[in-house]
Amino acid sequence: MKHLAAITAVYSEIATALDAQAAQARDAADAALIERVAQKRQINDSTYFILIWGQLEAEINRVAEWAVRARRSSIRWEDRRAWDAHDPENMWAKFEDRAALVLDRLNVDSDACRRTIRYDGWRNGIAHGATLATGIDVPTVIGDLYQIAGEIRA
Amino acid sequence: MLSVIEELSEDGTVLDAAHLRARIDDWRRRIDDLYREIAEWFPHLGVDWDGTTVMDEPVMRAYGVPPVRLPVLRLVEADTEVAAFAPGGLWIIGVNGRIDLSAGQNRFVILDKAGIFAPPRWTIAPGLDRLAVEPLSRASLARAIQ
Repeated sequence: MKHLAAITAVYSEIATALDAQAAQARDAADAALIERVAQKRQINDSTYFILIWGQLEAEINRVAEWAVRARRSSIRWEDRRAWDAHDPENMWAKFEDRAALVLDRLNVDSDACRRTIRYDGWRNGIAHGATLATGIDVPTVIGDLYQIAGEIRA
Repeated sequence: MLSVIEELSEDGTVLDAAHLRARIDDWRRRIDDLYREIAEWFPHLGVDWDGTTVMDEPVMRAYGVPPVRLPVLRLVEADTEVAAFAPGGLWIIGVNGRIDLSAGQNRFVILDKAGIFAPPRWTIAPGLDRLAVEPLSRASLARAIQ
């Protein structure tokens, strides 16, 4: 999660340049240009979203792998039997399952696990070219990802 | 309180043309209320309500909802534009709508941080420093457009 501040700064710079283009297109009442700038904004938002999402995803994978190693090393079989099903060298579990290893799926107050899975689904939608959103407010999402990261437990 | 990502993922709501029209009506109401409040905050400035911009977002096209026009607010002083507020999008992940503010060469984003169909919680941040978010008020807006 260490690159998020730098990512936000670069995102802000490019997004502001696109905001200026959008304002010019609006002032000129140029419908085709307005549409082109809207597409550029959407692509820019999606690109940065995928970049920041990758930071949280990597953190979840890292902590999940660590948790599996630590729990599998227990001498007591009662403690490690469920964890033995996971191979830390080869975490084949789908992302949703890895997220549930480090975020409490039943914590409805924070809803962190569900929010994480929703973001993952959104990333997959972008990757497959299917998104209905006009844009993504990247700084707001970064704030949310920090909150989720604060709830990850090994 | 649903967010836009839940709404567009149909997690707790059903997306259809009627829902989208209700959301557009709610967006227009929030914009009108905000513009009225801004005009009241700066009675010494002239107000130009005549401009509009087209709202034609991807989800509207996906469900066959035709484009609509939304108001642009301009504040003027001695025939010089001080600030222009234009709706920048409703279905934006993380917020419940964005209004773009141009004040001279400076850009700001005004964001509604509330959930959908909830009373708005407007915030403002400089375009180049989007983490410096503060609640939208007469004072924060005055600093932006001074």
